[in-house]
Amino acid sequence: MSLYTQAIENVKAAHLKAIQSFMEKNFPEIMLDQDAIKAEFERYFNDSTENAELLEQELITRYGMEEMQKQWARKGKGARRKRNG
Amino acid sequence: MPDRITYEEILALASEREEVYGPMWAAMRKDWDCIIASASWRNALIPEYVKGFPANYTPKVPPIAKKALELFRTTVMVGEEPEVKIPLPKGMRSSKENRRKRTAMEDFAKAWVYNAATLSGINPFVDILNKQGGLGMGGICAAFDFEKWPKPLADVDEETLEEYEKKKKCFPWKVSVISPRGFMPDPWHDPPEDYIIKDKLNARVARKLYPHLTAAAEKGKLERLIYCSKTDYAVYIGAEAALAGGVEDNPMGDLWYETVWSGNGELKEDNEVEFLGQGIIRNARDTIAMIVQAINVAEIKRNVAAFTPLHYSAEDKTEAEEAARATVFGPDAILATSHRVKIETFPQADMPREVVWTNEQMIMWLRIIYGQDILSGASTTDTATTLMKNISLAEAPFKPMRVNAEQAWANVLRKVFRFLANELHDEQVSLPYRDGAIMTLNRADIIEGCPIEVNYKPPTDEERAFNAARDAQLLELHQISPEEFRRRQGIEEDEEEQQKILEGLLMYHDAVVGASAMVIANQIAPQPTPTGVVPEVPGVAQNGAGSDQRMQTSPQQVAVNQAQKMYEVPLGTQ
Repeated sequence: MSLYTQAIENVKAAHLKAIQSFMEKNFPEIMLDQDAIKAEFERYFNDSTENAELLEQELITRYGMEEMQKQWARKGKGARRKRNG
Repeated sequence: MPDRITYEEILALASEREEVYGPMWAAMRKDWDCIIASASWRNALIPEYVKGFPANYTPKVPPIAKKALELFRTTVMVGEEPEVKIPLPKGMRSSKENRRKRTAMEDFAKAWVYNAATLSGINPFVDILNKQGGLGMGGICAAFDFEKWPKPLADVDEETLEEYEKKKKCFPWKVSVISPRGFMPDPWHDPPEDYIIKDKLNARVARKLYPHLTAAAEKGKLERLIYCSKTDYAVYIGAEAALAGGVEDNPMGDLWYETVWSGNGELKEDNEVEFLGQGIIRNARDTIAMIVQAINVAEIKRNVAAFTPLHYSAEDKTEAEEAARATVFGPDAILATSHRVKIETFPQADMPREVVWTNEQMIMWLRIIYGQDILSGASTTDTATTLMKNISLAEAPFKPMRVNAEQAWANVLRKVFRFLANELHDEQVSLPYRDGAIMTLNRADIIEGCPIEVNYKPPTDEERAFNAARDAQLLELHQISPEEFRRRQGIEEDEEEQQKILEGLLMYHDAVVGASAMVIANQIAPQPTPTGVVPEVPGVAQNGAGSDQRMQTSPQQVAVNQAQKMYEVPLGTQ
């Protein structure tokens, strides 16, 4: 399983868990069908990401930039610490 | 036993190489005279060039060559030591173990460079720039110090073991730079197969270094001749062998010398090296002499203008001479003469236009040789791109020298790793590093064939930020791959970290959040199955005007609003 696929699976699981706890807390009267929710989530997700390659490319591009920003934030902190002795 | 080279053969080789390198050394001597001209010009080259001044005038020699060398050094080098990077060889799998080894090698190389720069009185990384940049060539010596490196112990008590461990945290290399005059790499092979070095050393030092010496003088300077090939090593002081066995086995099994050419010169058509070793002074010598001459001419003209020579005349020459002797020059000076004495200023020649032209020529030539003085005109309103371009232009004339020096140190480090790969077995070598850190390398950490990148001028924080922004743009335009982006930014290939980052990005991605919102919306207010006939909805004006119907939020919107509430708290992947 590629990094990307694994990441998507983990994120889907996290969202399903979050949906479930949100519904239980705010709409306890509604009975939840786990499998139906999962299938529905998959359907909506697949509908909105027809071009999976583009999504992957977009994520990787954003990943590169965010990683860079994180690195610079770390370096900036180091430099500040140095300056402040 | 292998055939050893003999003393006679070494002498013959040395003599042959002196002929090869002799003309280059002669030119380098003049370069050196130029560099030290300001400090000791009377005995050196400049008087040969700067002539024709009045007998009682002392020409002034500004340190142009010296300053050019300093400019070169400060342009190509930042800090005390170069930066070292050791990436994994192309195509090698970036596994956790390989990444650990790579980091161990890189940390060790950094510590090696740090020790070499800080432990010796003369920083070899700076010194080699002086030699190859200033004169045209230099040599690096990086010999392993077997005496400093403690021998492995077997069956010892704890105290001895502790002592041994302490001793092991040393820097067991002798790193120095060799002056080009007397440094004779094998000129017929590239890379050289052997080295001959002729230098002088103090008699006391010689006796301490080579205890076997008996015939050598006790005082003064002695001539030393070193021969080093991959198999043989010999040292002679005068004609006396300094090593016990005369010519011995090369203890490192490798050449611990490295030749560094300036990269500025070229071989003559018959492969003679006279013009191969030329530094930044060689072609600027005449221009420097012209500038020195011009400065002194201007100085004389200024003096003459300030203290203009006077011409006294009278009917009687004696009377004119007396009046001249009585003259006191200066403010408030009063001079009384008879009406027969006439005082006139000496006629002065105007400065012809050609003089101004030659001044411009000299400046132009200096700019051609040492680069434009572009940074002096930098404005605070210049964009970062302009400044970067200017810095890059300023570096242009010196780039080949910088690259050659970097490659030479990379070769030295390659030899260090090669030597350790052969020498270390179960042992490890530890080097002290900044802030008391100890960098340890095991034999198993050494990855053969790792590229070694030495950078004399690692980018500053500002340059890094600039490069990062530019690379991010290239990445967005798909002109570089994410892998290339990470390589340029020095981002490690860490799969776990990458996955976390991807998850972080996906967690709030529109596609995922949208899917969640739709699921919640459908749970709260299930959508009716489409029947195929859509009822006509009466037109509603903006804000509900003209209609008695109130604005209603659709069940979908309610769900989306609810979902948004949900995302006010961060989601976790657990």
